Amino acid sequence: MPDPNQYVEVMPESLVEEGEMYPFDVDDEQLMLAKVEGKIHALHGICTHEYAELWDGDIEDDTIWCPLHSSGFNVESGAATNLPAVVPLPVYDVQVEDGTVYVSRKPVKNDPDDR
Amino acid sequence: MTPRRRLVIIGGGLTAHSAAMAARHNGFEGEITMISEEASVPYDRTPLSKAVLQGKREAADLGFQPDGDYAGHEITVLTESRVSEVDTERQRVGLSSGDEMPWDDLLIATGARPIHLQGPGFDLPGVHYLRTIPDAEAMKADLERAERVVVIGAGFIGSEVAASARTLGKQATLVDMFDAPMSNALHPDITAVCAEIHRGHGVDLRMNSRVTELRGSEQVEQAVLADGTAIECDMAVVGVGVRPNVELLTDTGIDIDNGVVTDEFCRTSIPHVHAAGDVANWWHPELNQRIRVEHFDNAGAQGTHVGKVIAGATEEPFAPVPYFWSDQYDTNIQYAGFPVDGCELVIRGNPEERAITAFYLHDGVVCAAVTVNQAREFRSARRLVAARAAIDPETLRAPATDIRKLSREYR
Repeated sequence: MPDPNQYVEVMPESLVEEGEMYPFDVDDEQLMLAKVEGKIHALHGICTHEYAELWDGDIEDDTIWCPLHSSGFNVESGAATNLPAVVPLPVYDVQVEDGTVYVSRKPVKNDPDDR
Repeated sequence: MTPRRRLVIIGGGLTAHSAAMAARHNGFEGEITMISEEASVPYDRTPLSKAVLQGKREAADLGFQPDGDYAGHEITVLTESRVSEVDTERQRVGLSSGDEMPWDDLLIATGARPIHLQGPGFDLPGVHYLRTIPDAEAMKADLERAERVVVIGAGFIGSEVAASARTLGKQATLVDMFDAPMSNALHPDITAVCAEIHRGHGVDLRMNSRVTELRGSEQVEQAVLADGTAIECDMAVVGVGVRPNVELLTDTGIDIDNGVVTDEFCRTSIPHVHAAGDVANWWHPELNQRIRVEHFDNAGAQGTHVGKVIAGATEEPFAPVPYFWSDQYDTNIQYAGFPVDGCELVIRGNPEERAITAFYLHDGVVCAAVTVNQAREFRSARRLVAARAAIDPETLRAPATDIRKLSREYR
């Protein structure tokens, strides 16, 4: 099991369905899992444009669509691919061990603290 | 060595930004120059009536390009620059500075400007229009001292400004010639919900009316309605629509009719001259008619499309499903679809709770969809519109139907 100081346990891998998003909280931040083409991704769950809970949005191909204003984010890189959002979404590391999904507490990409 | 092609874009809004970026990143290797009358590089206008007016976002943070970095993409942005002449024979534009700029491709992305009302008193201080950052800053400054605001026109700008004024604790009167706010854009059963949302937030709605005169000595103090009623106010905001900016194109040979006329590839009547965004009246091949759209999504998407056309990177026509949103108070309204007359409206949810998803059905096919505070269903509803799904009205209406699941087979 990954270091609990750096990773949190999220949910059983078997419950993560293709094309679905699952919100969870880590250290007062709202994150989400998203499964696309069999791969589980973890991203920040709040749109970088204005407050919107992205798990209420939609996934089409490799794009996560914001429910409020249709900003688009690449599920792999977090890049903002459709306006109005211009700031990329923080991406977190995902580890699967013994059938359980673990996610890093800190972003591995697009960390707002780095800007 | 062949000389580099030169793309000149007249305009500095979302369409200009999207076109420049799309051309640059889809194989256009020549020079790209954007000529903007504004002091700012391209920015998002949509928060001006909402977050900026309410003091939640700074105008300086609205740019589309992080750090305003256009040079890094080899795009030149000339701000505070005005094109005074377009010469389609010699393929040049003249600037009011006296400079001339040659082009091989020209994109007209001049957008639109607010219609100014011409009645008595409409030139008084304290009367505002909203399009640009300076407009928003002037309005915000006036709003800080004002207690009573009269908003003339209950479309997008007017409805959002009235909502911002109420959010700031100001008295707001919203006047419109139609029965309800947003009547130009939405079905009456939905605009009735919009009206209730404003009333619920304390807006004094004066529908089926209009302001015939503004009065005041030093500045606006009263708005007079057609029936003679005088409404006391400290400022007035006018949002009665926009006109496309085409005056520059007179006598250039470019066809003008409710904007710049283009085909489905954003091409005007003159070779190598394209138009996109609010100014373009383009042929929508699926609607089989010309339309001119004044919304954020279209400005960006059409800009991106024309950028690819100019770069030679697409042979697809521009045929999107029109889409817009509006945020008023804590209400999010979204619409996607093709305008068709004689649609049946099917409403899911409870209008009294101001949370609905509505489908416009024509011959049994979903041709448009609206959500009011039901954003969770919006992308799914939009997918049904794009797929022209034929779905039984009872299924759409039934609370037990999961629209998200239903839409999946159309993904």
